Amino acid sequence: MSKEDFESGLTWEVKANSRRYHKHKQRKSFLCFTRGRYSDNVVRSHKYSLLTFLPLTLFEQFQRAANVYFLLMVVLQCVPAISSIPWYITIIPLLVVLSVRGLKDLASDMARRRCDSEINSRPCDVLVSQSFMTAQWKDVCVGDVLRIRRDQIIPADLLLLSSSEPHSLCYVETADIDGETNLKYRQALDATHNELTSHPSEEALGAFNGIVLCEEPNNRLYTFRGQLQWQGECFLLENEHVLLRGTVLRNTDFAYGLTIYTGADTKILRNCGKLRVKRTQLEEVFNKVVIGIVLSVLLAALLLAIGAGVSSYQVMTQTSFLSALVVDGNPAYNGFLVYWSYIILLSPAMPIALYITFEVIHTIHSKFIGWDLEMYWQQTDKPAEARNTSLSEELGQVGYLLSDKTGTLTQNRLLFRQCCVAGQIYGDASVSAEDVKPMDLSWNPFSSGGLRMFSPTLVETLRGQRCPVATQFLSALALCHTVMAEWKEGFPVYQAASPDEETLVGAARELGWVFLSRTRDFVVVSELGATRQYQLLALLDFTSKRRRMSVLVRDPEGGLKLYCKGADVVILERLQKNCPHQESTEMALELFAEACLRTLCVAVRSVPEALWERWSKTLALSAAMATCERDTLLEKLYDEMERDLLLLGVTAIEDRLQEGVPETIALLQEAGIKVWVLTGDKKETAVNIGYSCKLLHPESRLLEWQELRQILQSADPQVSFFKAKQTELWATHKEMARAKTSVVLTGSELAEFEERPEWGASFMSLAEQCQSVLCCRVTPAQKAEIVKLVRKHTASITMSIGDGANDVNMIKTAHIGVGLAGREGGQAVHNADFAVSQFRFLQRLLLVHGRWSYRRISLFLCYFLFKTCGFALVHIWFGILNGFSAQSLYETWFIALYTVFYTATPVMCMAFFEQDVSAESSLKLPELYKSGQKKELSSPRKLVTYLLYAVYMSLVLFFIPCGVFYNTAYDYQTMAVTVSMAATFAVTVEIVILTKYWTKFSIAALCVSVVMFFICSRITHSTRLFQSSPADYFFLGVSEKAFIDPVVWLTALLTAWAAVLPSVTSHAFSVILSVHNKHKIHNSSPPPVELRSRFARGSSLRRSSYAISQGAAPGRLIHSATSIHRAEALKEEKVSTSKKLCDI
Amino acid sequence: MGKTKDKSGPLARRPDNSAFKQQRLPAWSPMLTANTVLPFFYLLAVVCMLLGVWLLLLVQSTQEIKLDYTDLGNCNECFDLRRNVSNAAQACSCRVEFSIDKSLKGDVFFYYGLKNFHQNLRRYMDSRDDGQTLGRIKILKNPSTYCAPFDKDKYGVPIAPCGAVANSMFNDSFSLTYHLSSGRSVPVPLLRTGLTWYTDKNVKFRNPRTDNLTLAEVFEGTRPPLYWQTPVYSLDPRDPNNNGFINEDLIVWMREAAFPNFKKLYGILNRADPNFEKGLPKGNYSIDISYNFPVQHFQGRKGVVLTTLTWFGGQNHFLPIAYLVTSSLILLAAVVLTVAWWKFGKDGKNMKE
Repeated sequence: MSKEDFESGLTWEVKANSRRYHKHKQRKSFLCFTRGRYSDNVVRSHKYSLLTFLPLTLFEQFQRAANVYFLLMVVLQCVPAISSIPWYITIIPLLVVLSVRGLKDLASDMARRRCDSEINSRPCDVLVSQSFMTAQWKDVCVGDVLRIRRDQIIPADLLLLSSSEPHSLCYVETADIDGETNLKYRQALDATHNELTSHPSEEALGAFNGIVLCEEPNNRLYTFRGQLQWQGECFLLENEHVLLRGTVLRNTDFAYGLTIYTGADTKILRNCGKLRVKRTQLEEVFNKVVIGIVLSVLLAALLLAIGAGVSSYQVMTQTSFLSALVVDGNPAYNGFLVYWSYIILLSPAMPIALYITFEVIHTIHSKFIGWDLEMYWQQTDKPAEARNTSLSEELGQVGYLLSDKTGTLTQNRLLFRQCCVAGQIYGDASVSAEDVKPMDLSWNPFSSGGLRMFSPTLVETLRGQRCPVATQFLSALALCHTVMAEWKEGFPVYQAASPDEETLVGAARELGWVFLSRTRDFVVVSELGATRQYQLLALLDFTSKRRRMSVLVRDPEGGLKLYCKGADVVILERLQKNCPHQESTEMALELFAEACLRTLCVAVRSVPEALWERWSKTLALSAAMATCERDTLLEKLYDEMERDLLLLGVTAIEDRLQEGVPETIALLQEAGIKVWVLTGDKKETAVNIGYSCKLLHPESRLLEWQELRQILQSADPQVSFFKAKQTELWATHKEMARAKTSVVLTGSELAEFEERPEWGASFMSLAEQCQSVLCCRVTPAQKAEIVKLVRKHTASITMSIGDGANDVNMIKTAHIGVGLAGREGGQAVHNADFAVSQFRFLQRLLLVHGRWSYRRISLFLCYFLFKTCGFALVHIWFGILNGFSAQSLYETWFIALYTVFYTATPVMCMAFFEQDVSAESSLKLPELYKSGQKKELSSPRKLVTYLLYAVYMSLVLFFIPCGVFYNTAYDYQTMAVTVSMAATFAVTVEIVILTKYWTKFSIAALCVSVVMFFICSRITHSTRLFQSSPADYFFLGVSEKAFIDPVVWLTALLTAWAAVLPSVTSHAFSVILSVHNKHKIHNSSPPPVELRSRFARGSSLRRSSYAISQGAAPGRLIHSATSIHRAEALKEEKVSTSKKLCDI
Repeated sequence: MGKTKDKSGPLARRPDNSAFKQQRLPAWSPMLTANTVLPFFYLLAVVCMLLGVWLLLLVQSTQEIKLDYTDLGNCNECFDLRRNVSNAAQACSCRVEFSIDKSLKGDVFFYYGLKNFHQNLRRYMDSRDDGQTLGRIKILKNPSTYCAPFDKDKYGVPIAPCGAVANSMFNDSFSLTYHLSSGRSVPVPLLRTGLTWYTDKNVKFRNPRTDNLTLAEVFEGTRPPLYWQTPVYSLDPRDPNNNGFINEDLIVWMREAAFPNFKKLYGILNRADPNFEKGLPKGNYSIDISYNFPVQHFQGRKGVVLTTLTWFGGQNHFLPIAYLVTSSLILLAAVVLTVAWWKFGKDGKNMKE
C-alpha cells in the first residue's frame, strides 16, 4: 500500500485529530541541522536573536569587501613599523559605519519581528477533545481540525470537511493569492458533508479519523492531488476541496477543515521567493570600480615597494648613516614593509567615508520620496514610502515595468455607466464617475445609491412602462445571472462569482428591478415594487468558449422566456433576421468601446412551449450520458436554444481604472519604459484593460501563443517575426508595425518556457520590439519567473508593481518592487522596496525622484572617486623623489579631515539638492529619462574617465608645487600645506562646475568647507595642541607661515586651476554645443496625452468581454435540476473510480 | 519655530509643505552660454599671462650667486679626507674664492645647499623626538623609539638630540671675506640668528629647564649624536643663548626639506656694518669653509648660495613660466571653443525661434 503511495507521489500523510503523532514529527532545527518533516505554523522572517545579533551582524557586515578592507587597514596601521598614517584615522569611521549599519539592521529586524508576532498570534478555533478552543495561529499543527468563521483569514492549508452552508459549499476570497476579488466556491466531499453535518458537529469532528495522503508541499496554487481514507473507503481529493492559507472565508458562517500543510509548507509561503538583498546596478558597477582601484593600489604599492627595495639596497651599498635606518639591514624586508605602508598611504583613494555618505544620501533621497506631497494620498492618509532606502537611483534607470492588473491598474470597482436599450443610449460616460449627478431614486425602496449613471429619461421610460423593450432589458438583467442574494438589514446584498454580474444586478436593483432571492427552482424579483416569481427552468452556463450565458424561465404569466447575455460577437450572430435596433445598437457598441467600457449584449427569446418540451427531454437524456460526449452534446443543445434572439440592448460597464493610469502608462512609454501586465485574471479581462489603459493601441495586433510559438520555433526568430508582420495587410509601414504589436500569453503557455529555456532569449528580443506584453492567468511564481526572464535576458532594470500577496514574489524578484498601498492586507507593501498609494504616482517616483536620484548619485560617485583618488595618488609621484619610502605628502590630520570636513558637504549638498531640470519639466519631457536607462552617467566608461582625470589631477597636484619648491629653502611641511591647499581648491572648483542648482545650503556648504580648511589647519597647527601631544601635531606653525606666503598662494592657485582645466574646458564645450538642446528643454511643451483617441470602426468588436471567475461558472451548483443530477452523477463516478483505486 | 505638529486627525501623515521637503528650495541655476563662457576663458588667459609676466620680471630683478664647493679648489683634499668615516674627528678647512660682478643690493641671504640628500625618507623624517627637543626633562633621557637606532648609544646612554635627523646635521661652517680692491680683506658679517620661524624658536624647540644649572649640567647623562664633534650645549661658542636645542642651525636643519635638492639658510648679511650697508658690493670674495660634512656616500654635492630676495622669493623661474604655459593652454582652449561655437553653437541661436 505504502509503496504504491510513493509511486503515485502521495507521500504526505496527515492523520486527523492525532496531534501527538504530528507533533512528534514536527520539524525542529538547531543551527543547521533540521529534523522532522512537518513544519510548524509560525512565520519567522526575523534574522537575529539577542545572542546572535552581534556575531551575525558583524559576519554580515564583514561580508562586504569594503569593510574587510578597512579592517585590514586598521590592523596594518597598528603595526608601528609600517604605519605611515596613525591608526585612529581609520578606526573611528569604521566603527561609526559598523554601528550605524548594525543599528539599522536591528531596527528593521525588530519591525519584522513585531509583524511576525502579529500574524502568529492571530486567533483561530482548534478542535481539542471534542470542543473548539481559541488558539493562536502558531499553535496550529498538522492534523488539527479547525473551525473558520465568516471573514476569518484561513491560517493554514485545510481540507474542507464541511460547512454551515448547504452541500457544504463555502466561499473564499483569494485576493491575497491571485489578486481576484470575486468569490470562489469550495465544496466538501459528499462523504464528509453527509457524515459530519448530520450529528452535532463537535462530536462528529472529534471522532473524525480519516487519513489524508497527498502530495509533498509544493507551490502549485491551482492543483492539489490527494486522497482521503476514511471508514474503509478512499476518496479522491482535488483543489476544490482545499482552503488555502491566506484566503478569506466569505458568505459562510462556519467551515470546518483538516489542517494539511502548515507554516512554511503552505502553498502561499511556498510561493514566496527567498528574501534577497537587493543591490543596485550602479552599486555593482561602483563596487567593480572600487575593486579595480584597490587592485591598482596594490599594484602601485608593489611597484613602489620594489622601488623601495632597490633604493634601500643602494643606501646599503654606501657607507651612509642612512643604512642604519634600513630595517634589519635587509633591503628586501624593507621593501616588504614599505609595501604595506604604501597600501595604507594609498588607501584614502577609496575612503570609508564614501560608504557612509552613500548611505546618508540614499536615506535622504528616500525621505524626499516620503515627503513628496504630490505622492501623498489624502483619502487614506498615506504618503509614499521608500522601504528599501538603497535603491533610489535605480528608479531613474527602469527599463521594464511589470505591473499587476487588479487593484494596480484598476480600482477593482466596476461601475454601470451606460446602456443602450432599443437603440437609445442612456447615460454619458464622458462625465467622470465622480462628477455624475445622482439620480432621484427615492421611489425605489431598495436603492442604496452607487449608480454612476445619470439618465432620468431611462427612469421615466421604465416607470411609465412606456417601452416594453426596456422592461425586458431590466428583467433580463435581474434574472440572467448566477448571483446569490443575502439579506442584511432589509437589503439584499449580492454575492457574485463575477464582479460584472454583481454590477449588473446591482444596477438593475437601482433602477427598480430588484433581484430578491433565488431558490432551487425559482427566482424572485421585485419589478417596480411588484414581486414576481419566475420559475427557473434551465441555466445555460457561461464558459470562456461560449462567451455567453442564458436562463430559461417561466414568467408568472406562464410564458417561456430565454434571457441571454454575452459578448457582442456571439450575441449579434444569433439574432433573428431583421432584428430591430441592430444598426443603432452596433453604433452604440462602438461608442462604448471607444470610451473603454466593457460591453455585454442582452437579448431575449420567447420560447414556444413545444420547443421547450422537446428540448428539455433531449437535455435530460444527454445529461445522463458519458462525460466527454455529453459536453459537446450539451453545447450543441444550448446552441440550439440560443437562437433567433431579439436584441434588447447593451450594457456598458466601466472597469474603473485608477486615476491617471492611461496618462501614466503613456508617459512611461514615452520615457522608454516597457510596460508589461502580469495578471492572474483571464485573458479577455486583461486585454480589455490593456486597451482601456492605453497599454495596447486600438490598432495594435495581438500576437498570441500559436503564432509566437511558430516564430520561436523557427530557425531565426527575428526574421520570421518580421515576416509575420509583413504578411499582415495593414502592416504597410514596418515601423508602425513594430510599435503596434503586443504579445498576449497565458500562464499555461508560459509553462512551456520553463521546459525550453533556449526560447527565453529570442522571446525577449521579440518582446523588446513589441509595444507591450500581457501575461494572463499566471501564478505568483510565474510572475516571478517572467521577471527573472526579463532580468536574465536584458541588462535593463526591472520594476514590479502590485498590490496583493500574489504579487509578492515578483516584487521580490524584480530589481525594484513597488507595493500599492491602496488596499488592506498590505502583504505587497511589506515586501516592497517602495510603497505608493496610486499607480499614477509612478510618474513622479520614476521621472522625477528616480531621475534626480540617478543623476545625483552618479555625479556623486564620480566626483567622490575623483576627489579621493586625485588626492591620494599624489603619494605615488612623491615616492619617486623620496626613495619610495612611503612618506606621506600630507599632514595626517589633513588626510583624516579632507574627506570629512573639507570636501564632503558641498558634494552632499549636490547629492541632496541637485536638479538639472525642474520636476515639472521632468514630467513634461519624459525622453530625458532615457539617459538613465542608457546609463549615460554611470557607465564604467564614465567612471574610468573620472579616474583618469583623478590621475591627471594627482600629477598636477604634485609636480607643479614640486617644480616650484625643488631646490629651494621651502621645507617639507610648507610643501605639504601647499599641496593640501591646491587639492582643496581643485576639488572645490570641480564641485562648482558640477553643481547646477545652487540653493542656500549648497552655497553655505561650499563656503564653510573652504573656510574649514583654513580654520582646521590653523587649529591642528596650533601651539596648544602641539604642546599637549608633540607627536600628533608636529605641523606646528606651518599654516601660520604658509597662509601669508604669496608663493604658496600663487602655487596653490595655479595648481588648482591647472588641475581642473580639462574639466572646465569639457564643460564649456558641452555648454557651447548644447545651447539649442537647453532651449528645447525649457520652452517646449508636448501636447497633452490624447485620452480618447478615435479609432477605426471594426476594432471595437475586440472589446466586448465577459469577465467571470476562473474555472467553470458556478451555475451548475446554483441550479436547474439537471445540473445537480449531473454533479451528483459525477461524484458517484469519482467515488467508484477512487474505490477501485483503493482496492488495488 | 518649535512647531508642535498635531499628529492626529485624518491628515496626520500628510507631509509638510515646506520648500525643503518638497525640493522647491529657492535656488540659482546659472544658465551658462557661450556669451559667458568664452569671455571667461579669455579673461582668465589674460590674467594668467599678466601674472606670469610680472613674476618673471620680479625673478629677473633678483641676483644670485651659486657656488658648488664639494671638490672645488683645495676643498678637494677635504673631500677625499671625508670619504673615510674614521677621519671624522680630523678638522679640515679649505677656501674657495669667487667674485661678484654686479653688487647684490639689499638684504643678502647666505644659504648652504645640498643635492641628492634625502631628508624626505619616511624613516629619516620619523627619526626624531619632538618631545625631547621641546625640552621635556623626562623624555630627554628617555627618547622615543622612533629615534632608533639613534636613541641610545651602545652603552645605553641616551642621545640628545636623538634620531637620524639630528645625527646627520650639516656641520660645515663658513666665513665670508670681502677682498677690497686695495688688497685689504674685510670679513663679511653674517647674522647667525633670526634664521628660524618664530614658532620653531619659541615653541617647538626649547631647552630643558635649567633651574640654576648650566646647560652642560642639564645635559649630563646624555651624549651628543654619534656624528657630532661637539655636544648640543656648545654648538655656538660665540653666543651662549644660541646653544642647546634652540641652536638655530639645529632648528633650521630639523625643518626637513621636501626634496633631495634643497637649500637651507645659513646667515643673513648684517647691514649694520658700514661696508655692507647697501648689500654686497661687487668685487672679490672668499669663503673659508670648515669642511666637515661628508657627501660622498650619498653621491651628493654641496654648495653655497648668496642671493637677494623680493617678496616673491629668490631666483625661481618655474612659477612664472608655469603661469605663462597655463595661460597659453587656456588661450588655446578658448580659441578651440570659439571655433566650436562658431561652427555649431551658432545653430543653436537660430533654433531659439
